[in-house]
Amino acid sequence: MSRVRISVFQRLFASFILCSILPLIIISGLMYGFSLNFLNKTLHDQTMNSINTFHERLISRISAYEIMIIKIQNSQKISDYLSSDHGLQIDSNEIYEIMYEVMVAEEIKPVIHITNLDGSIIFSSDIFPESYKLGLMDKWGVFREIDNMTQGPVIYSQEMEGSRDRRSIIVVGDRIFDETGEHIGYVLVEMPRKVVFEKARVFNSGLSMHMVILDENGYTLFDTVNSEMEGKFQQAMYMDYEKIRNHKPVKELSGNNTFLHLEHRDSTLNTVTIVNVSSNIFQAFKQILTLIVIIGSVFSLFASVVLAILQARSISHPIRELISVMSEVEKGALEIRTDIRNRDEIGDLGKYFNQMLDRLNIYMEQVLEKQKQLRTTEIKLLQAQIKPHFIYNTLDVIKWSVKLGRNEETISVVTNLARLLRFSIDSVEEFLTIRSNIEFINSYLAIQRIKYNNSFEVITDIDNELMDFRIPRLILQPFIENSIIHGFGKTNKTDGIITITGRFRDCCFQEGEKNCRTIEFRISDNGIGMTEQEIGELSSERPENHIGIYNVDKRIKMYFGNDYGVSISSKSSGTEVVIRMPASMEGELL
Amino acid sequence: MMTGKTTKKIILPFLLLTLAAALFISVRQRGWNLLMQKEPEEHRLKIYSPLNERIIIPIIKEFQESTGILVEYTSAGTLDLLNALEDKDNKYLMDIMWGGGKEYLGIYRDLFEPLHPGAEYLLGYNQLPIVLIYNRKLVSEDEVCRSWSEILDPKWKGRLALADPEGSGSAYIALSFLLELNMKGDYNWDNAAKLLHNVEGKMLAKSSEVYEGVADGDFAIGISMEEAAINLIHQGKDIEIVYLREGTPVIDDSIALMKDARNKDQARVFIEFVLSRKVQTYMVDRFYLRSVRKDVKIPDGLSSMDKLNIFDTSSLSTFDKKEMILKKWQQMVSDTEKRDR
Repeated sequence: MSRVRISVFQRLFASFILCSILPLIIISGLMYGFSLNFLNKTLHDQTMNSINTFHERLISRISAYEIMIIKIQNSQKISDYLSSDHGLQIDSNEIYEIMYEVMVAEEIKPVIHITNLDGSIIFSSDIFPESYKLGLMDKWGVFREIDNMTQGPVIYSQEMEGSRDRRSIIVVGDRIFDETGEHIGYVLVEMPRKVVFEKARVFNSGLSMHMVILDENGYTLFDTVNSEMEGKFQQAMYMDYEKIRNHKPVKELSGNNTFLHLEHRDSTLNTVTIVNVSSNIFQAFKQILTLIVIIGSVFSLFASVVLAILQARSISHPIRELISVMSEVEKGALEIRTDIRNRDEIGDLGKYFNQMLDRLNIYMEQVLEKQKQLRTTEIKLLQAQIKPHFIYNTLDVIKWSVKLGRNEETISVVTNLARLLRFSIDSVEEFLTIRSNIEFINSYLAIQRIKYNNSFEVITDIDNELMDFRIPRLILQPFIENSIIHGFGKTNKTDGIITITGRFRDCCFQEGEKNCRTIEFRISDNGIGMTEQEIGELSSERPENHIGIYNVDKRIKMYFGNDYGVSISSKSSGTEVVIRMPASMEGELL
Repeated sequence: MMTGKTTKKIILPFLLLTLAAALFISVRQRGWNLLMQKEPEEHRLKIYSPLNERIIIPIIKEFQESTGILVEYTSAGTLDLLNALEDKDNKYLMDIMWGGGKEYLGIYRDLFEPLHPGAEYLLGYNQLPIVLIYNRKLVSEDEVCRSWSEILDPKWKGRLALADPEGSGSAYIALSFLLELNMKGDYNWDNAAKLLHNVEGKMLAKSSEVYEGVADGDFAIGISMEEAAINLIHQGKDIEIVYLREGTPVIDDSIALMKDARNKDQARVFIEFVLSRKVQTYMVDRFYLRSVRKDVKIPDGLSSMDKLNIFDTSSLSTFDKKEMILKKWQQMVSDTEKRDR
């Protein structure tokens, strides 16, 4: 399973933002929901109350109309008139008088119609509509309902047009009987639209709203907004564009811009009242809430981003610095230190890391110092090995010169020996210029020449440029000694030649370093040479003979590293020694 | 362990977020929950009708109240409804097609089903004679034309109101009648040209514009339906009806049960209701429509069908060739427009 690497910064950043945004989202969501819900519920209850009051008032009117009907039914005069077969013993004015009297208490006058069974006798406080005449004949509409009803008045909803734009929407009707109980006619009381309109004023919540009253079959009785829908069916559909546009069923309107939709079914009137409370206030409220939430979110997001960046950085930055410092240290840079100033656990971490590095440095220095001391001791030891060996040889020469009475030679040897010793004693420096080395060699050769009766010649060919470079002391001398003693000494050769050359060599041992110059000395002779075995012995530790040569190689390697040192090649016609070391004016350790 | 920890880390904020979202949504939804509960619209009887809503509404109201069956109707022009039938395919659109000439509906006979096995597919419920109407203030009784050929007289140029045969069934039947009048082999396109000349290439979009136009005096004469004319006469308009000499085409307004009706039982109840004596009488009394029932009287102010020279519209051959005829007619109309320009 490969897991995505998430940095501490990212994780901290994300958590900080989440922690600051989540509560906001939750709280605003709750606030949004609860406040809308509260508003919704309040308005719902309030509107529902209004609807109930509205219906109670309508029903109280209906009850009043029913009382009128009873009064008319009980009127002897009316029943006499209707059953009189046009006898007309009674003045029709009296009938009208009764009609107007029963509705005298009504503020908005209903329309009362009284008719006999075939419509030949009609009394009406308005005009008697044509549709009633037909309805009466064909038992249509309200008359069908009355005939089907066994007891009590009928409440029938129908859009009816009277004279002068007078419209009514609900009719209360009942039969009229004569004394014998025979059905002789009908009485109808129409509730004018105006009454409904007046009663609808209970809705004074200040919100614009749309009320529609339908009968149970979707027939529109009353519509506060689209009065042209009155007398039409809600469920009608059209293909003609204009008609579609003019048809405004309440269901279509309730969908989009309405927030609160209430329905009330009235079992007395057999109507369904639908109220749509306009969503304007809700929209405004919602907009404000949404705006608050959005602005709040943006601001807090911005603030939390800034804070989260700062916080996360204050934690992750020191860690990152610590990591980079550690990687530097890992590469060997022990002198580097962290710069963490946090006054917390991370600050402590940095502080202790620094302390740890300090300690490490101290230990390292101690170790280095020890190593250096160890090496110096060893070098000193190796140097010391040369001196007795040489002095023993020279004293041997002096002994023989004195024995042979060669005073001049003795003086020269002693003088040169003294110079050599002074050279050794005076200078405590490990590194000497090549010039001094050559002087030293010359003194040495002067002694050796005497010892070996000038049986060899020395050719010194060293670049003048090289003369001031410093090399460790006693580097060249052991090889010259080796040539003299081992190359020539055993053969009694009288024409021995030793060539010493010193050159610069441009080369680079270590990649990536700047071009370094090395000094290369070649010491060759035409002596008997050395066997492979002898050369091998030279390189091994502590050989029996050639003690000086081993010392030189070892010392060079100690000073400058394993890239430098001595290499020996030998044939039967002579030996060549190549000594390589870096060029240095100061003669310091590399 | 590690993965467990990380999943926990992911799940916690996720849970919180979901919680917040759920709260948000639930609260919002509750606001809308109060929306109208939909009535079971599936069970409503679906009726397509080209009839005037003035007729549809009282009949449907009475039907719903006396049977308790809920009706949903679509009101549109005859030709729109026929186009709907044409494009119907296997879609369920309606239970009943209420209205439209027998000849027109006959084209889509396959879509219908007889009310009872063996009965007719299309049941006529009204008869609508096509007549000439004239404004009595503009034309005297002596002057007015009494025959179809007289309508073609150029003296009526610009004074004749005609609905567009493309949108009006009655106008198309009138055009068809003229095309077959004095026909020798091919249709009498000469009559059509004369008709077009008299209407000056301009036809009215709706049938209602014809009788209203004549009643308002915009036109002197017009080809319209008897039913519309008699309504206007009863409203006191100065209009008179002329039954033309060569014959009076009569549209049998029909009602048909759809083969794919979903509410067949209710549909049968409705069709029987429309054909019942009660409704037929009501239509005669209230809308002056001629009933197909013999036991229902003739509308007030109209003479008996026996006295009219009835032309059997089913003998017209133009219903099947409607497309071709309308295309040619359209061509003639655009030619006239070009010439006038």
